[in-house]
Amino acid sequence: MEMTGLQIFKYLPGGKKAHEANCKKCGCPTCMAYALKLAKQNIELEKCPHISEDLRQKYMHSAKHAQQTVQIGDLKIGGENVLFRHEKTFINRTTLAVVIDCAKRGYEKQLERIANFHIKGVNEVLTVDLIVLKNSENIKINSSIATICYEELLALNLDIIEENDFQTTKDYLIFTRKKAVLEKDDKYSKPICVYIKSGNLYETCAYSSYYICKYANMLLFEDFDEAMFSTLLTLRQNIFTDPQTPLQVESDLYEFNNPDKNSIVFLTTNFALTFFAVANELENLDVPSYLIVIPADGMSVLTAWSAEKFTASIVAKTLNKLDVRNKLSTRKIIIPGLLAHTLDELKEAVPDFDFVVGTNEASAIGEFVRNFK
Amino acid sequence: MNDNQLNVTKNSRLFALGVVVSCGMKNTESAAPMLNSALKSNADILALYFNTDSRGEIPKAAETLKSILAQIAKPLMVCGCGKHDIDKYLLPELIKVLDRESIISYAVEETYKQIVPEVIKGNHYLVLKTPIDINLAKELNILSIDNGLKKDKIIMNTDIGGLGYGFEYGYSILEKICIEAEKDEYLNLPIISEAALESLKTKEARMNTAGENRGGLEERAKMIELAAASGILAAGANILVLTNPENIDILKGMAQ
Repeated sequence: MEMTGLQIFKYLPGGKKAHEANCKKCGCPTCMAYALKLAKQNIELEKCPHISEDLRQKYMHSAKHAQQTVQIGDLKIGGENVLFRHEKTFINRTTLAVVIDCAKRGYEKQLERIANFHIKGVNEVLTVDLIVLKNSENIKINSSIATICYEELLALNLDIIEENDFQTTKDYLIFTRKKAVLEKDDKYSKPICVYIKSGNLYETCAYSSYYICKYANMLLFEDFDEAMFSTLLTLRQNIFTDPQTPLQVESDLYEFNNPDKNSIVFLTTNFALTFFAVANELENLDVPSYLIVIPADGMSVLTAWSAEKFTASIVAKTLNKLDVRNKLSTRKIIIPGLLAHTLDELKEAVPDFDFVVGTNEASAIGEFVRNFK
Repeated sequence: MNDNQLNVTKNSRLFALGVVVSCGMKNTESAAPMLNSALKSNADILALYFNTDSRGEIPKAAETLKSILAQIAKPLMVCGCGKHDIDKYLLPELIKVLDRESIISYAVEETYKQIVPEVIKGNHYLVLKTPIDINLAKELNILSIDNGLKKDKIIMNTDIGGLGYGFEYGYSILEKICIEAEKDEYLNLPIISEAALESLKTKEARMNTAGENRGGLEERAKMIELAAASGILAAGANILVLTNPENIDILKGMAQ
């Protein structure tokens, strides 16, 4: 585990109430300020002339990265530093790779299937990350997906384990990550690749989902299946989203169930969770609708309002930018219930629209629409 | 009937099979095939979701439950329709009909006062549902205990988005609660997750048109359910609700 600012502070002159306390030689106003910076690795150890050997060793050990990183082209594997994503974030998404045996008949078909496979995730296109070729001497393959041969994979600084049964694999992954993160034990710092043999796809899907959460750095599959990979890629994108930066969607006029110019119109902010909550409800309505998404730096409705990222003038600008007046005949916009207090401002800033207060919770939208004329 | 016995703890790994019950379903007619296949499954719990549309349908819902109870030789979870202004009347009426200790799902901040007293009378477990937030979960636990509910009869549902739709928020809250539980008795309670059901509501799991490059709809929906359930199992959920009996078999194998 990493040392906290307070733990570091105890070793500094300020923490020991020594006469050199807060000498400012490091450039920080106090020892405490330096300790906090050091804990975040935002300043060097050498800046402080009073570091004891004891602190140096403890700090170097704690600042050491838990896992090593292996790189194949642009693809990074491992380099993880925490057990839980909420502690900071997971860093390099579990590499999803497929192994293809060129000695087997029909391998070209398999390659083509993988090359054609891509799905739209939030703000990006997702594909298989890596193809690993067995028996590929004298075979040239043109692929937009990173490709290496099996021997090259074996030569990498990876701990490759074969998945024989779920329990053993799961226990090994958890044990190893704990050793690496909690004890910074070098013996366990190699990224782990789990080799998953051909088998029942549903079992493979369930086990792999677990390994993505805890704690495989790479999964190497003998089987390829579109349904399974699209599912695993989606799960992986969720788990590896950085909790420190809110996931945003683009400010836009979104359509649900083929709306026409007169369909009902909702409005919310561009925080992904807010958007998805509303979008999911609108999709499930039996009437078509629009959703206007305001650019609010990925903040949820009330947060955006407090931070002045949701104001009447931003709404007015967004309506212009998205050309809502020309695209729609409707002049009624349903705003989030939590923003009821902005109604007067909105009506003043955008006099040609009628704003209606909607629900506090997205889950109540269905009921709201049924009662809405 | 020992088969009906329920024991839910922080160490449980239980799998519930969710089935939708329409009001007015009769034992002999529409309910029979659905119940038969559900009862043949290896689910630990049968979760009956009542899709009651209005308060007027409540007596019918209670009658339906009464008519199918004798057939069900499995622990039960009785779930409301999710609309608070119906559930606060529906759930107490359903509880009155029950012949065994069951799980009642769910009460929220707006409804717990109406639901808790009936739950206590029947000695049932109660699912307390709160929006993805550790403090709100703890608060509702404490409020319900203040209203007389025993702590060991509480099951938390801290809510979650479907796969690809904010799943990670609910996932991390669950992990945080499991860590906090070690030092906070009001969070050291079993957790139920409907992550699989939420994921099945997404367009990727329901619509063929959303399936460009994602394989066949049926197998995709099964995979989505599996991935969501397996992920939330990794996060530490104690009870998972699923819709596919074959998926329950796979997950039970993992949770041994």
